[in-house]
Amino acid sequence: MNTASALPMLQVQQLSTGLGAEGPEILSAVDITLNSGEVLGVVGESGSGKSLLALSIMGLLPPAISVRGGQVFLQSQNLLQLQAPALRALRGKAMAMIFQEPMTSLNPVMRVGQQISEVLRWHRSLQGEAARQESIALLQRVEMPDPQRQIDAYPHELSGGMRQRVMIAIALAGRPRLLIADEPTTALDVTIQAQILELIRKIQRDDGMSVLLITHDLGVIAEMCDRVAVMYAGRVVEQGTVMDIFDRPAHPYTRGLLASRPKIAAGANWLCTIEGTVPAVGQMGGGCSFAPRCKLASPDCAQRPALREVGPSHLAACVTPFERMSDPRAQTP
Amino acid sequence: MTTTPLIEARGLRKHFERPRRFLAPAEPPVRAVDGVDLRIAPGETLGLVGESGCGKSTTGRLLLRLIEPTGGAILHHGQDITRLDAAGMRSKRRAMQIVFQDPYGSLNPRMRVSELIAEPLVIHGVGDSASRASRVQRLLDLVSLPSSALQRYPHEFSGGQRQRIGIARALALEPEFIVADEAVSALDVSVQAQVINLLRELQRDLKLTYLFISHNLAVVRNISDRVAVMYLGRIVEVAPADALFARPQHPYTQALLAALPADHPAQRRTHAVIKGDLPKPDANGLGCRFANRCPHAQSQCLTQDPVFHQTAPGHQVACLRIADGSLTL
Amino acid sequence: MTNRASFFRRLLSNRSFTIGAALVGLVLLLALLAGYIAPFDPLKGNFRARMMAPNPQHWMGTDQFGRDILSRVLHGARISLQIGFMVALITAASGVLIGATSGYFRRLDGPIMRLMDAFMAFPSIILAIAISSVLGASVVNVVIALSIAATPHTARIVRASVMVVREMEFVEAARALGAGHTRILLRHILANAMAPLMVRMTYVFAVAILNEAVLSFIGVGPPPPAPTFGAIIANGRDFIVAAPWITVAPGLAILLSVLGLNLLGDGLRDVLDPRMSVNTR
Repeated sequence: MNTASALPMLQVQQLSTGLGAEGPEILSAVDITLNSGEVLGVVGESGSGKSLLALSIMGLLPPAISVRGGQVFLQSQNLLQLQAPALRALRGKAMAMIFQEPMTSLNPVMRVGQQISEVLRWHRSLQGEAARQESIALLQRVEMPDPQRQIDAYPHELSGGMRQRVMIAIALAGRPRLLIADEPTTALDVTIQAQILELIRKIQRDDGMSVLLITHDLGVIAEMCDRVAVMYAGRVVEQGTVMDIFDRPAHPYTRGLLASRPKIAAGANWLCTIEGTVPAVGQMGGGCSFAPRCKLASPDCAQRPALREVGPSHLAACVTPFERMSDPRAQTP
Repeated sequence: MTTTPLIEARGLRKHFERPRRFLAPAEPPVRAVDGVDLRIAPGETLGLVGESGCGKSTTGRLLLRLIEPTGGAILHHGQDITRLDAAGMRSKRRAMQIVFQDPYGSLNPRMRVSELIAEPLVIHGVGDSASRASRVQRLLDLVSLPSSALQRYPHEFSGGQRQRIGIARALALEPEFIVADEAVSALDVSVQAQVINLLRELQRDLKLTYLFISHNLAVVRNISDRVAVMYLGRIVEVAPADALFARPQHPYTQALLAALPADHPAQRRTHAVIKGDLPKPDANGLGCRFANRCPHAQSQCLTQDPVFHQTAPGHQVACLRIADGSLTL
Repeated sequence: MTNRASFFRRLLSNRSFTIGAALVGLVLLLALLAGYIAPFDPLKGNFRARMMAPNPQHWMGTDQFGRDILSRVLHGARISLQIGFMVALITAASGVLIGATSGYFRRLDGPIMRLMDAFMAFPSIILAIAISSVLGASVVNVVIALSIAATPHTARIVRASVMVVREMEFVEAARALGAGHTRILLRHILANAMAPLMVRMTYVFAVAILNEAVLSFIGVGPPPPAPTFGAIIANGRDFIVAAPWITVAPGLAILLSVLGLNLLGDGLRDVLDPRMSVNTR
């Protein structure tokens, strides 16, 4: 692992967002720390708010949703306090994002090379032939076959994997320090996913880039991440190294999530499940958001639990993560 | 297979014509399914896996004649259903049903749950409204949905609950065979587990036979007795589930399994993964479809169709080089 | 809350819809009550009160025969609204019939749409005038002419909706259950394709009112002495400078009706639009 510089690359502190000013809360006091040169995975199912977290960091929230509190620091800059032009200058240059659906994230009427050159023009002041050469170099970097020709292709002429490579090239064009990848391989086939994940890992290693990887797929987390944050219903419920999460999951939701995965090695067994469903936005009471579904729930859970340390740099938001771990009712991974 | 298979496909083919441009020469058709043989025994679950464009969803729909085959035969209890007329097919549908992938699109948003589940009974004139109502209630119980669901509309339910409604609808006519077309792919992991368990319970209690189509190998591993791997319209390998995952024979199956993300960070991939992209499913009609990406390909692989070779009881691989013994993996 | 209840609530909170509905409601009310509230007989002239500007007795003035314009406009509204409504209804029926058939049965699509294209090649006004003059002047014939003119575009809209819904998975699910064409068309496809049609119908209604005025103006509309809007305007054609109120009054009535219908249609479309896509998460 790369040595971390003293200041974390990204620090989200107590971030809360909600629908408008008065509507229900969507993200609630989210704390995330991404160290320099590290890959942090944010894992959660639908309704966990993980995508919204990424958009909040980038300042790309839809108009209906507003930030209600907290800070987001990109190294030493507080992103939430920046005005729009300053934020725009950072976007694509200091921090870049790649999305799940390359077909809708790429402009269908612009050639691929032009979309890369756009970023080169805005953030690196490259024009004309210099921009074109750099675009080709970027396509080579993302292992696009035949970059000289593909640079003039339109998105619909490329396969899903190739479009995702283009998106990564666009993201890299500004030479960002932080890359946010929101479900980058969910829409791709398994073999293509493997190629893209390996590509991201290679680039991350070569450039020492910090990556915030958002996914619902625990396999991707296992493959890619150094540290992991688990989100449930708009809150961070557990944070730790990837080994901590897989070997010593402390929060009942994390344990349940790990247990309910079908695994190749496990053969044909009955899967463990988590009873119930994720609460809808605005339907959560006070207290622990997971309590209604938790087998270990107790009256203590009526108070929203803070993230407490359960191991070195391993935090879980549960009142009794340790004491009940030997409880037979706890779901075992 | 010693017993008569419940469902059998022989030489199943589906070609889609490409729209002709004015005055341009005709392009070859898209060979979505190109000579597929399948046998599914009563009570078993056959998993059908592959990546996008392999033709697995098309195969599932062909078996139910939701799409008309271009060629080949589909046998149900030995009877070729491709020769049935509309009325005959209609009564066949009572025995063969499908659960779709999209929990949001597969239910008519303007119909209440009670109407959705009762629709198959209404179409086939089963019972009167009282007996239908009680049957719908029993179906709701089977899929663990509360009675309060009856008067509500699909948009009031979560993805997992909608899938349960879809399953209840599929069970209404008491079918023997169900095609599950990526039935859990659009669901969250924890919800997926619930629905997979439900499907297995139902199979055990109602003696169902499944064709389980999915791109998710772990899910297929969990639920299937036997697994068939498809690539660009053809089956490349068929084997009992344990054997396929423990000893994959075909280079594509091996690449597929190698590409899977790890179950645990300690098991991360270190070796290179398969290169190249899926070519568009068209081009020629001859030769192994996997040849352009296969690390073991030789010249004859490009011109000769692969043949099936049995490497172990119940384990078949479609590869020229394995068949002629020049390749052992 | 059920689909329907939340739909009505959103409809009522849409400003365009409520203003439009209020206008249309007002015109409708006045038209319905025309027989009771009209101060004078619209057909009877009073030579002593000819060409009078609007005054306390004749709120909208009188025409060259001494007929009260207000009364004529009120009765004219009744005729115009009747015609507009009938045209909308018939166009909806024929549009759905043709559009659904075309959109659902692929092999019939080509020939039917070419036929519709042929009709659409004529500007609808010209078509309406031609048909109307061939059939002869009467309310029924005007309705027929305007309906024929409005059907092709409506059929096209219905066809587009049908083609979108046809591809949705719940339609395939219905086929898998063994449903026949009729059931699929009625219960599944049309039930979900109605939104664009409803919006279109408000437009057809409005245009029918306008077109009827044109037809009457040039003399192929309902025969005189029927006080249709167009007829009243035609009547005042020679006195636009001397007695502008004869043409302005019915003109305002047309304006109000058409504006109201357009606003209503816009509001309806705004509420329906996000729901027009069936996949609401």
